[in-house]
Amino acid sequence: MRDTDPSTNERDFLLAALKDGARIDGRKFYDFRTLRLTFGAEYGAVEVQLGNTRVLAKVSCEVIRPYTDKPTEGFLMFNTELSPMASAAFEVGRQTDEEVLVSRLIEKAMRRSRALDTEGLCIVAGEKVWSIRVDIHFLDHDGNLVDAACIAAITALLHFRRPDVTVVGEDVTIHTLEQRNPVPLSIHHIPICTTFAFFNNG
Amino acid sequence: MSRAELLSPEGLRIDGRRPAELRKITSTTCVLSQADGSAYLEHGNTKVLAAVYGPREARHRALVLHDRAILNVELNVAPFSTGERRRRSKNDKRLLEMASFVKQTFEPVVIATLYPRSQIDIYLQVIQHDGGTLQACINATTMALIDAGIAMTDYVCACTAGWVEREAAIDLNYIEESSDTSEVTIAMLPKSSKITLTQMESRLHVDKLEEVFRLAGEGCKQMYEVMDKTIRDRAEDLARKMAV
Repeated sequence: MRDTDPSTNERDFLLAALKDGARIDGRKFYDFRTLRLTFGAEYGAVEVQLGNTRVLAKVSCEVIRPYTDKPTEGFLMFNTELSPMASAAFEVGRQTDEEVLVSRLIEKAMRRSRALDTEGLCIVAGEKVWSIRVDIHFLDHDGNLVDAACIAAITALLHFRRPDVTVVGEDVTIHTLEQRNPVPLSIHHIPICTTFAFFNNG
Repeated sequence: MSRAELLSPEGLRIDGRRPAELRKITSTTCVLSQADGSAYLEHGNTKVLAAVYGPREARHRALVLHDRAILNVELNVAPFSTGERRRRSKNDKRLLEMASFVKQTFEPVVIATLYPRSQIDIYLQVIQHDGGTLQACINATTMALIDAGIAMTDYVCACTAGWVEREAAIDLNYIEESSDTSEVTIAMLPKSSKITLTQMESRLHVDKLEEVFRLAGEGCKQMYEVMDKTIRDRAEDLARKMAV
């Protein structure tokens, strides 16, 4: 189901208000909405609230074999789900344009910019590496999904702790959370997204 | 992979070009018989074919807009286009993203209000991929739309630029793209110098941003000259044949 466009009255009011320098929720042009972060009980679970937009991010990890041509690099995968819970415009299973763009943007911001050190995820070169998976769920769509999702993803990665590993020769022991304190991921820098819009041709 | 030298001490790039030099551009329009408009564009070794069908009746009645035409872009990358033969799935996010960019680039430029309740389909086929696919797709689409006679406010010329070692360079090829440097793609309307698309991958320091953008803008202007010449030559050709 396609999202209904705002009515002509609403659009005209919005544009006229912008000409006078006012936004419909009373903010200035360069003001962000209130940002609230709620951390879950487990490591790596965070919920971001940007005004009414809510995004949930959860990080999980597992040990797998690396690619043969990149034996020392771990995996970092992002999975975004735009469920109909967030907005009536989204459908289960069908990838809308917006979802593709949001998901690609998060991947580019996090992966291409090397925010997370993938070489640090290596346990035994060529055999065992960590695969980090970030699941991003959109709960409520009230605009600016990209910024909220980015903040959620990077906060979840910063919050996450992976189990500690000891390598003795060929023997790999993955310690449980009871045996040893879990280890944080090595994040080089924190990418933050900002979205701008131009109205009335500038 | 050994670190190939992307910029020699004399200032030559890996394929012998200067940093501000475009690759050789070959373009032809009206290459397909069934499409309303078509174009074939080569940027050095990157080869793209564009076909435009439209304005025609919309496939899905639900998506029809009462006052304007809708644009539909489909991008297909041939498995033999890269060095290794690789079959990409139809729902590959990268391809969908690129198609979405092309659509967003042309939505403000095509005067869609002239064709209400109809659909304009743009099909792109990448035959050989040597860097700069998005720029080639946008340029080929412009020429195909002009060939189809669809009203637009201006040409859309696209150009990539990036930071190669010490200098800003335009029209990056595959090897330069795959290295760690950032790549900026800009689509510009040459007459008004307005930008309809800006896209960047990887990291770039904000101080270098202005230089890279400026260089990409100049590259777009050069693209415009080449594309305009092809279109005008073809139009003259047609006019001559019709006058006989």
